[in-house]
This record gives sequence, C-alpha cells and structure tokens, in this order.
Amino acid sequence: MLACDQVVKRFAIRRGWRAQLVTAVNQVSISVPAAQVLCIVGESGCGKTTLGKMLAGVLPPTEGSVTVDGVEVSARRTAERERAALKVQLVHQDPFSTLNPVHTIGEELSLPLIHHRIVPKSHLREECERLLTLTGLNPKAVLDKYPHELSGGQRQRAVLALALSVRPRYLVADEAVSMVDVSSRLIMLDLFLEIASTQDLGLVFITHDFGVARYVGYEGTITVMYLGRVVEQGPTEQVIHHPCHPYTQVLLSSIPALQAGRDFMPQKIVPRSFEVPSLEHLPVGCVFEPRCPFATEACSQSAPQLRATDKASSQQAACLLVEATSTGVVG
Amino acid sequence: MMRTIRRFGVAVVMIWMVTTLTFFLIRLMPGNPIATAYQTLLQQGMTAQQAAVQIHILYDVYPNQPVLTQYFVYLWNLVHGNLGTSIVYTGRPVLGLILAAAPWTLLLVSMGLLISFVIGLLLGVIVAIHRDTWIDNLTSQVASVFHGVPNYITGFIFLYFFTVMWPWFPFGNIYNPSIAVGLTFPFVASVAYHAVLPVAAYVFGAFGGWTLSTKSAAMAVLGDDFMMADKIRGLTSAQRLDHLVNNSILPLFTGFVLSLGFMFGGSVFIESMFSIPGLGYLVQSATTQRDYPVMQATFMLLSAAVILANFAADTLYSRIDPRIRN
Amino acid sequence: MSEVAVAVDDLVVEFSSDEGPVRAVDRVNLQLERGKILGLIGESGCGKTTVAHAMLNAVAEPGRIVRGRIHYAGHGDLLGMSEEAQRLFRWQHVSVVFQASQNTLNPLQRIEAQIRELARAHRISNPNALVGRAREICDRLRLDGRRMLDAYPHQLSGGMRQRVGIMLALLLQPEIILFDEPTTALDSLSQESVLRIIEEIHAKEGISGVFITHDLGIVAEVADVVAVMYAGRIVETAPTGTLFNAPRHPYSRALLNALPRLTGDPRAAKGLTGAPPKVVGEVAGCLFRERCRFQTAQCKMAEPVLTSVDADHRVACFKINEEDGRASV
Repeated sequence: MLACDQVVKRFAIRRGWRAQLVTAVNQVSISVPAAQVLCIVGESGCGKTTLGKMLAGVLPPTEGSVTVDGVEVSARRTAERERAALKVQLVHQDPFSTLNPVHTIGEELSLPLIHHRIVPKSHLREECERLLTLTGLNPKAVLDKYPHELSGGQRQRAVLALALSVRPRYLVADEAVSMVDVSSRLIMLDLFLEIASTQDLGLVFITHDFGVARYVGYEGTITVMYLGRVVEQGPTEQVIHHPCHPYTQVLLSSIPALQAGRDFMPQKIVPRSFEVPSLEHLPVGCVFEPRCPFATEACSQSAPQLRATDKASSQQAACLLVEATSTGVVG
Repeated sequence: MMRTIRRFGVAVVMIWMVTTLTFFLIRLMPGNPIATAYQTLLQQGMTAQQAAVQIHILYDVYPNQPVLTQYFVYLWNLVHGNLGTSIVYTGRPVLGLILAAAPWTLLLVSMGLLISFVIGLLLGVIVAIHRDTWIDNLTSQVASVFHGVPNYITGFIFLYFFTVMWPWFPFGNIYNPSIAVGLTFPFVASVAYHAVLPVAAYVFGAFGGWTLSTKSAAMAVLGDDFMMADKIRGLTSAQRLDHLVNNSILPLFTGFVLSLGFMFGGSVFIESMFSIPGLGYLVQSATTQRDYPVMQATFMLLSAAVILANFAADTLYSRIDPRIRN
Repeated sequence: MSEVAVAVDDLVVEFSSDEGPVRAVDRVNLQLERGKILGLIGESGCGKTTVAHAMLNAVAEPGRIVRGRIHYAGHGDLLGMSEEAQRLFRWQHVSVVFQASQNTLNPLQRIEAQIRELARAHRISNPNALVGRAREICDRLRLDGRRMLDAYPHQLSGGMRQRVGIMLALLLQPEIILFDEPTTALDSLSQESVLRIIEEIHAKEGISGVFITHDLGIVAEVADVVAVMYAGRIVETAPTGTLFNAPRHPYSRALLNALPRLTGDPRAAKGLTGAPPKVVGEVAGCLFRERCRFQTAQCKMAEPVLTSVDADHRVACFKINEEDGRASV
C-alpha cells in the first residue's frame, strides 16, 4: 500500500521584502493498495503535481507522512527507507526534461541500474533491452539513439522504461499523456495498464481529464483536488456518474458533450467564476465557496471536512451541502 | 531592492578578498625593490636606523615591519582613500598616477568595445536573417578568423602597415605633446587621430566574437513564436527588426557589461604596443619595476572593475528583461 | 448557398528538407461560408496549422506555397496582392488566436505598447482610440482591462492569456478569425470559458472562423462544418452533425473512437496506432492505408480523391461502405 497521511506542503513565495507561505497541499490523506489504480483529478494549480511528488518521495512533506508498504519514507532517510522509497517511481509529463539530451537511451537506462546495483554489470545490456521491450520499444532501434532522435511516443516509452528500471511497485504518472495527441493517448494508457497488470504495479494517475481517469482507473478510485485539498473521493464510476461536490459537478459538466456522452449531465452547472483564486488569498470557509453556484452563507464561515456521502457507498465529499446537491443534479 | 543590497555587499566583500590576496601574493614575488634599496643604503655606510628612516621617507614603508602590520596599515590607508606613493616615480601618489592614466584607457576601450559591439550586432542579425546563404558563410568565416586572432597580432600588423609602410597614422602616445592639453579642437582632434589605430586594433580583435554570439542569439529569437506572430499581425519589417534586435541583445547584455569590467586589463597589450600612457601601460611598467603600491592599486582596480561589472550586469539585467523583474 | 468568405483552392505547401521537398499540404480545397465556423481537425503534423499560415501567406521558412489561391470575398486572391497590401490585409481582415498566446507576444513590451505598435503598423490615426477599444473588449471578455494592458506577456495566467489573445484578434475588427488550437493545454474549465467567449463573439459579431484542433470534442462544440486532415490532405468534410454521427472515412472513425468517454464501456474506445507518414516525392496509394483496418490491394494502387457521398459530405476513401463492427457514436 502506498499511502499518505495528512500531508501538508507549504512553499515560501518571495514578495518584495518578505516571504509569504502558501499551502500547496493541505492535509491530504490518500492510499493506493498494491496493484490498484488511483486517479487524482483537478485543474492546474490544485496541488496534484505537488502531491504526486511527495508520494514519489521527490519532495518531502512539510507535515504528515508518506508510507510505502508500511515503511515511512518521508522521515529521515535510512537504508531501509531508501529501499522503500525506490519502490515508488515518478513518470514526468515532459519526456524532454526527464531524458538527458547528451545520453543515449542505453546510457540513460544504465545509470540507475548501476547506481542501485539492480543487475550485475555483465547483464546491463540485456536488462536495458528487457526494459525497452517491456515498454513496447524495439531495443535495437533505440538503445543507441539520443532522445532528440526518437519520436514523441518513443520518448514517452523510454521515460516509462527508465521509471521501471529500479523495479518499482508503484508508479506515479503526472499528466503522462497530456502532451500526446488525442488519437494516440489511449495507446499510451493501454501501455500503462498493461505494464501495471503484468508487473503487478500500483498506479497513481494524475490528470485533468476525467475521460483519461475513467479509462485508466475504471475499477479504481478517483480523488478530486481543488486548491490543495481533497474535495471528493470514491470509486471512479461512482464519482463520475454521481458527483456530490459542486466542484466535481462543475468540472464534469465542462466536458464537451461529444466526449461526455449524450445522456450525461443534462443540466449544465456553471461556476460563478472561471478564475481560480490565488493560493495566497484563500477563502476562510470552503475553498470553493467563491466560485460555487450553490454556496450559502454558511459556506463562507467554516471549512467543511470530508465525510461519507451516504452510508452505503465509500464515496466522500467535503461540502456542507452534500445532502442538498447529491440529489436531483445527475439525471 | 533587498537583493540588490545583498549583491552589493557580496561584491564589496569580494573586492576586499581580492585586495588581501594581491597584497600577499605581490610580497611573495621575487625581486623586492625596497629590500634592494635598503641593502644599497646599508652598503653605502648608513646605520640600519638611518637606512630605515631614509626608506620611509622615500617609499612610505618601514623595511623591517612585519608583513601583517604592513597589511593593516595598508587597509587603514585604503579606506581613507590613500593608495600610497609610487616607488619608481618617487613620491608621486598612486591615486594621481591612476587618475592620469585612466581616461586614456577608458576612452580607448569604451570606444573599441562600443564600436565592435555595434558592428557585431549588425553583422550577427544580418547573418541570422540570411542564414545558410553565402552572406552567412562568408561573414561567419571572417568573424571566426578575427575572433581567433589576438589583438596584439592585429595591432602589430596595423602598426607595421599604417605607420611604417604607409605612415598615415602617428605612432606612439595618444596626443601630440606640442599641443596644449585642454578641451580645444586641436587637442581633441589630435587625440582622435592618435586613437584610430589602437581602437581599430581592439575592434578587429573583438567584433568577431560579438558577431558570432549575436548570430546564435538572433537565430534563437527568429525561431520564437512571436516573430512568426508579428508577421501575421501585419507588423512592418522595421517593427519586426526592432523586436529581433531587442530580443537578441538580451543574452549578450551580461557579456557586454562584463567586458566593460575587463576592459581595464584588456588593453595592456594594445597600450604597450602603441605606447599609450593608460592603465594597461601603468600595470605593465609597475610590474616589471616591482612598484608595489602601484601594482597593488592597479591590480585591485582591475579586479574591482570586474566584480563591480558583474554586480552591475546582474542588477541591470533584471531592469531590461521584465521576466526577471519580480 | 450562402456567401463564401474565403476559398482555398488547390493549395500546395512544401517544406524543403535534406530528403527533398516535404509536402505538408497537398491540394487542399476549403470553403468558409460567411458567419460560419469551419473545424479543421487532425493529428499534430497533419498540416492544419500550415493551412492557417498559408491562408495569410505567412508560412514559416523553409516552407513555401507551391501553388494555389487564397480567395477572399471582396479582396480577391491574397497571393496576388503586393507585399504591402498583404501586410495590411493581415489582421485587419483575418486575425489569429494562437495556441500559446503569451509566446506570440514580444516578451519585452507591455500589452499596451504592443497594441500601439499594431496601430502604427496598420496606420491607425488615433492609437488612443485603439487602446480604448482594447479596454472595452477586455471588459466584454471579463478581463480587468487596465491590468491586462499594463501587464507583460509573462504576467498573464493560463485562462487570461487566451482571452488576451482573443482580445488582440478582435482589435482591428476582422471578418475572419483563425483559431489555432486555442484551448489545447488548457484545463477543461478554462477551455470551457474560452469556448463560451468564442461562441459569444461568433453570435454577436457574425465573425467567420476556422477552428483548428486535434480534439474532436471541442470541434463538435463550436464548428458548423468539419474538415478532417490527414498527412496534408483533406480526407473528409461534412456538416458537424453528420461527421460525428455518421463518419465515413476510416480515419475519422478512428479519431472519433479514440476519445475516452464518460459513459458506456470505457474499453470500447481504442487508440490509433502508428504515426502519419512523411510525404516526400510522389505518392502512390492511400496515405492512411498502413493504419487502416480496411485496406485492400486497391488502396495501394491509387490515391482516393474526395468524392461526394451526400450533399455537403465528401470522403476520400475507397472503402466508405465498410462496416466498423461497432456502432458509431
């Protein structure tokens, strides 16, 4: 299980003479069982990338803890924690920034293999070939190539091979397909799913696209984030077809009708504003209150906590109005 | 603002460190003239004390003072604006020597730098616009060749052709000594006439580098989306050229300001070749004659100029590029 | 039939490369009716942006228009005009909303300075009036006009950039706006806000537009007519409803099927494998055949040409009657 418990991440932003702290991720707890899929959905700036980095051990949380199979990796590093942290690997959205332009793909793949002593040196080339084959690349064609000599899709696969090189148990994919053409997105997603299932990997898929989230995480769970907080989470199909939080509803109803499907969301729910408020001036009450079409007086008073939407399901939403909005909105 | 003050503080500390370093390094160099003079005085029959007093009168230092004491005395004098007196030009204050030499160097190098920068900028932009044509090939080749030839070689060639073979230009000094110094037309004209060859030598050594850096900067800018969009928006060629030049200057700006800092030291060869009484000349003659106070002061000046130029480049860059501004 | 605002006739654009000229656009014919929005869709590299640039005779080096006509109603063939007339034509009659608007602005100038420059370039006698107009448009687009004009391009945030881009496109009151992937890389909410604005100005000002994107979902929202491009060619054109309900070209069908849906079996959607070919030199056969499920010997022999299958519906394929095995959307 890959999990984080009440993680908080604050950054200092310099404003002239003084620095101001902004909270990019605020008390988020999520968990991904081994070999399961969790999708984190939200607009840019919602903290999903920061959360992903903390899960992958790339960024230490300001508060809270991250655990991988029971080992807390966010605490001071020991050999054991180092090993546990290696079990979670991050797949970046931009393959160009991940691959060193002066290394061939073979050299790039060899580095972690040597550094973490994954295979003896004599087996290096075989292991590289295995990894490339695993990600659907022809090792002979790409092993000695530089990143700029590969096509976009090949680079994406090479990045995936790189992440797999240390034999992780979990992958955190951050907008892994947002730079891929719509026509071939599903091909990349299929690859992720195939590798996850053959290698028994847990998958954290970060995206702003519910369509992608549903395709990848159909049997898994969805976490919807807004301004650093989880506003709704639950089984994928449940959240998409019965969204409880107004923000989830607004997001879903902004999806073009063609993609959403004809009989989906007959009632358009429009936010009061299309501007995301700055993290520096967060509302006191519910973070979504200033944009929420259903907001009441009470919403600006106190911040709602995540709570179950009804006894039967495992769906949770952080909204004072859950009772009021969960009925009658979805047709 | 805060950042600027902090950077300035760092610059001051660096200047102090360089000053300290040169102070001790210079004293490690072989051939100490004060020790030599002191020994001579002793051999002439003076007592040690008389000789020491004599040395102090002449050179403003006590020969047997510990180096550390000399250092603190030096620092004390330095913060009071006293750079000491020259050993070679007996009794003349170092500050005066520097102030007399600095204008010539400043004139020479700033002219050379400015002219070479403007030529390089123009050529670089033209070449970038006409990339992969004969204009590009020819200009880039010529620029690379001139970039590779050191300015004392070009200086020597100019000297040979234009003062010896065809004596069109005067040789030596920076003005005709028979003309009274002052802001009069004959004097300024004389300076300009004398400055042609040394400035040309500087320009020929420097424009190639500017051309090549401008070319790569301008080619990057030409590939930017806004250059394409400028055309689609129907902007005039002049406006588009303006955008191209302004954006190409950005990456060169830091180098240009740093060159301003290096210019005091950069003219040593040219000044000694053309016998121009500038700072480079002063550094060179002070070093060969072990004129400690002058060496010390000029070295400090050279490094301070570079450090301050660095500071200026950092500070000014954020003024010209809005993206760096906070 | 309503009036045609711009007609692209037999457009061919080539880019020189080491292997020889690459045909980025090959014999493209397009007609944009006045007051309508034409969707131009295809994968990246299919030539759709090149078509837009060619419509302004502003194809970037090393590309060049080999032949064709860009006929604007009331102005004639753009390619036949003088350089200066073309320059003034651009933006006054046809403007563009770019994909990443902040990159298409000079980073060293405030927006207002760039508007004044635009006024000078287009010989507008009262630049202050143009700045005032920019402020008005900002208000309509729910932007803080003063703040926007005072900002440098890099200071604009995600959704703002595209709206400033739209403001600039509207500034000289053009008859036609080319939208070049204006919502790609935006979140669904920002995307929706931009689409709403486009719909609004389309309805209010009767502007004609070409909307270029690789996202079919968006095209379905805004376009009246859709043209599907593949490897520099138009392979299918139809009214939007027809294209999405009864696509005939296997490529259009594949594109439609590659869209992950929110209802139904998620695994019914399938991605499109492979990549479009690079077209160098003479072509024999259909360029899509390598990726096509229905290819036969015939597809290798000759290249299919656009043929009418219905009123306003044209397809370039030999196998248009092939059943997909799956119900289309």
